[in-house]
Amino acid sequence: MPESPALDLSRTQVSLVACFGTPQALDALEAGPPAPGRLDALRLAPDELMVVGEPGAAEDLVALAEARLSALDPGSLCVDVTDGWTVWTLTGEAWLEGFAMLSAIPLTGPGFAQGPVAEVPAKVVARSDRVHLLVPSCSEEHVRRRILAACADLGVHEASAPSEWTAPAAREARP
Amino acid sequence: MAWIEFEGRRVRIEAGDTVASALFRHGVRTFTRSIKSHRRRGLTCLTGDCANCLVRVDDEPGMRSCITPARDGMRVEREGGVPSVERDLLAALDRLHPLLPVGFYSKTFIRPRLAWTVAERLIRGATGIGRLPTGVRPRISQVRHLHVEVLVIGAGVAGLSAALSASEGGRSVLLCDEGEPGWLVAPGPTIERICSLAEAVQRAASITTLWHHAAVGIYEGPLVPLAGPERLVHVHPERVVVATGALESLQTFRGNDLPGVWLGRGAARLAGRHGLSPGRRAVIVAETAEALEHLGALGSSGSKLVAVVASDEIPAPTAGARVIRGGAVMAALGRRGVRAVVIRTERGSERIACDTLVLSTRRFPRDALLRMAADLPPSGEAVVGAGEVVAPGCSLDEAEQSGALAGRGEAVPISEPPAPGLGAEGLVCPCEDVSVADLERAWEEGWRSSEILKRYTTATMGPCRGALCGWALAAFARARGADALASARTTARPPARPVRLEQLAAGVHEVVEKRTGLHHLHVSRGARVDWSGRWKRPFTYGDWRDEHRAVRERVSLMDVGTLGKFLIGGPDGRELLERVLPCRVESLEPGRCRYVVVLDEGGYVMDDGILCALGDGRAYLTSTSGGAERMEAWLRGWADRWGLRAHIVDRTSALGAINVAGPRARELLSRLTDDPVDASAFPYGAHRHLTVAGVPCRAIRVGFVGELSFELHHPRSRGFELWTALEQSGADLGVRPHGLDALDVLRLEKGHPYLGQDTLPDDHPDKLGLGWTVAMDKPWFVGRVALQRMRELPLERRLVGLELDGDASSLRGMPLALDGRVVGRVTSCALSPALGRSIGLGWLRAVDGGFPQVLRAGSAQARVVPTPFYDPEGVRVRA
Repeated sequence: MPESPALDLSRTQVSLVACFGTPQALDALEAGPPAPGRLDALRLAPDELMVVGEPGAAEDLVALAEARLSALDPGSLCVDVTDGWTVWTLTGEAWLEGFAMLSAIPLTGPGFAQGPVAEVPAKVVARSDRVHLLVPSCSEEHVRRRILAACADLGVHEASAPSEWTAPAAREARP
Repeated sequence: MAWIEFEGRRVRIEAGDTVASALFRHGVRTFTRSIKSHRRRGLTCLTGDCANCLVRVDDEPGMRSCITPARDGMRVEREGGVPSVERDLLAALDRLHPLLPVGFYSKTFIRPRLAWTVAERLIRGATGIGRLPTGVRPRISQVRHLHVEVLVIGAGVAGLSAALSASEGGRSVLLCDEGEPGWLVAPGPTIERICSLAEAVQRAASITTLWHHAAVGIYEGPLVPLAGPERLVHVHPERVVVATGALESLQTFRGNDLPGVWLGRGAARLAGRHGLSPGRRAVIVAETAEALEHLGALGSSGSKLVAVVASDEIPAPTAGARVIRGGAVMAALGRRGVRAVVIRTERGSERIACDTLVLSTRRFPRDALLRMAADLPPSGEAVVGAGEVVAPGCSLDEAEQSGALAGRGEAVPISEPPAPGLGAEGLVCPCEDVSVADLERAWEEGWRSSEILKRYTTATMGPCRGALCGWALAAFARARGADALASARTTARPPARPVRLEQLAAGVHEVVEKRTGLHHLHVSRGARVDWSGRWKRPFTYGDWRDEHRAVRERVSLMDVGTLGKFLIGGPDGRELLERVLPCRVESLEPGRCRYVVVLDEGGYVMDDGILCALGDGRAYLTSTSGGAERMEAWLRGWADRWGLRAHIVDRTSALGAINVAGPRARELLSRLTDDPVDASAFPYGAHRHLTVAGVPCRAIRVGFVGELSFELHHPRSRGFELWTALEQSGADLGVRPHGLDALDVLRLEKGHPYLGQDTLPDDHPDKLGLGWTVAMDKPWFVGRVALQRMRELPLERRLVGLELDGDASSLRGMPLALDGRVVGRVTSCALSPALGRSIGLGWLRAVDGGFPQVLRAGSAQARVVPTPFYDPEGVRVRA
């Protein structure tokens, strides 16, 4: 085993809040002032936004998002979905190669995509040095095993310590 | 010094050797036997196109020895032949060929029926097509995905040129080849050009090369799987350039498959690259200018050129060999290999003694990939050919230019080769031993198109996939007057090149295992966990009867986190539910819940679940465990179709659910919550927000098992603490978990059908006795129109409750018979511990306008009885 594995698999702890509303309201929420504990925002659909927050921040984020959104769209809905998703993170110099062993999603660098990863519907957040895979919690073990099997040739190593969600660099951020 | 082990002997290998070249140097001339007639087969193409050199390498059957690099320590065996390839008793079949015409099997083994069963085994055993390795754990291949702008298949002159031009402007290009650049080409001007281009490719930053990866097909997308030595690569390109070259045609004449008959490029490669002479005395058929290169290679290897059968446009070779203009090969003679050839000349026929016949004949494109793509519009338009695959016989300059055009995405000149001429004798399809005479016979029998000739004779269906014979088969049909459609080349299908079974299965993981948050807890409690749909669920924790008793007499827990769970909100959320559900949604007060069936447009029951009305116009809906994904898609589909602003949140993964059931369930719950759970505050058909053992829960009063029940829907991450708190707090109440085995009996006692097990796809609610769930006085809901029409018809089939004699627990699936006539089927049955008798559910067809009441299920009598069997008044569930 090399000293520094080319590919590390770890779990990342975050809070996740799903926000539903009109596209305009979600645009405004996404571009609005930073909220305490908020790390990222993923636009899943024109009427759906997933806010990524620090672990344990879900309740506050829901309250804040609800407050902001309801002013813009009374029919909006904000739900804590933290337990519904498991975030697996691939880091190391072979992370892109590792991802290519799991999914046909075209990923060449930082960005956000959705689609099947290891046959499971997933949200994919790529950074310059890692990729976060958000998979349904009920399939987390399936995805873990598939990663370890498919990336065995890459020397994948399962880290015991959780990984951190990396905020997008300025140039990676959504316009 | 390196060696391979060949049938118990050590065979020395030299640098650059393939298995074939090493064996040939060792004196091996017969590499395999043909599968039907057991004719000898020797090296022919040396490009991996034909099936004449298949051997077993390190226990792996069907390896093409001509393109398999020899490695020290390899174990090589020949396949086929009884007892051996050299001395094959089944070679007698070749003499019996006239007695075994095409269609022989299908004509001969029709009756008795057992005949084919026996014959098939014998025939398969006699073919010698290799044995699958046994006792070896199958390897698991992985798939890697690659996304590029341009994929170039083939690293010959055209392919290399295409890659270079495609990379202009920094486009990402992947260049792949079954081998490496020039690996199949004999020394000469072609290899020099390839080397020069390959160097340029190596310098190009945006070109990635993938050697030893064969493209096995082109699929929609386009998607091109490449089979490599270690894994399968799925390439997702924007454009594809196919530059797979061309192959010399195997002329048809008697003995055209004898060892010693070579395709020109193969012979030249053996001579030029491996320094081996294909034979001592060679006759060469020269139809192309390239034949002169082959002549040179053969001459330098030590072969004596006896004669050159040259077409008029070929300049006279300088090697000093006798030149026969306008001649044609009529036969190759010999038993173990070529001993002489018969040439038709202007003066008649002439026999020439030789041991090698080299066919430097016109080439036909290796175009299977291109033809696959042509059937895939619009992705087929992204696939173009370059070089010999679209212009067979083109010069090196033309190939390079063609590649450059294709690489840039410009139009490439295409020239269709003229149809090959067919002789009167010989094999058309060497893989399947199909001769010209066989085709003639099939034609006479009425099989008059290339496609059905293929199916009847199996020509083109061998390992070479029609590479050698596809053109000839089409030409045969055309020569006999078939029109363009009936004489078209047969459909090209993957795999274009041989692929291992493990690679076909690579990346295929059909079952995605799902687990609830309590999976490990169940395992630690000794549960038998098994598949239930896509979920892994506990079936029993030891004795299902004990579990059953706990539910009926005390209190029990069940993990029902697999249920589909949806939050529906938004301004139009309730409207959506009102339209899609057949029950009255509007009248459901917040805090109340209702059992609902979900119908499709045909009025058939698609799913069922519980609908809970929340405040603010929101609702919480559950579905069956297996129906969650379909339910979500179905709800979203209707919302989109109607343009409703409804937010549908799938909470299946986010929430766990534990059913606390049994007469002492309330007692247990009240120990862990300060919220009121008494019957007046929390009656049957209600749902409440409770905090149980500190865990926030949505508790739903439903009763699938027919006892007082509280279904606690909670955050998935809190499931463990909730479950253990319930277990600990209820220890003195005799709480224990129950699994699916107990549930199956519990729900049956209540007469609840399992959707899927007890139902059929065309069941409407009335057939299931669920008509009460439908509010037909609603003006509209999905399925209403169809349901209304069906209600006007008499019920021809319905699900009924059954009481059976004796222990009927094994009668599931048993036909229900009335006077010997099958009128139904048992769908569920059990010996009920609560009732002390056998009960079941089953389908029953109407007989003479009514439903019979007494039937036979095997040897047992079955009586139709009303359901529920247990607690028919529902007192216990409403407690």
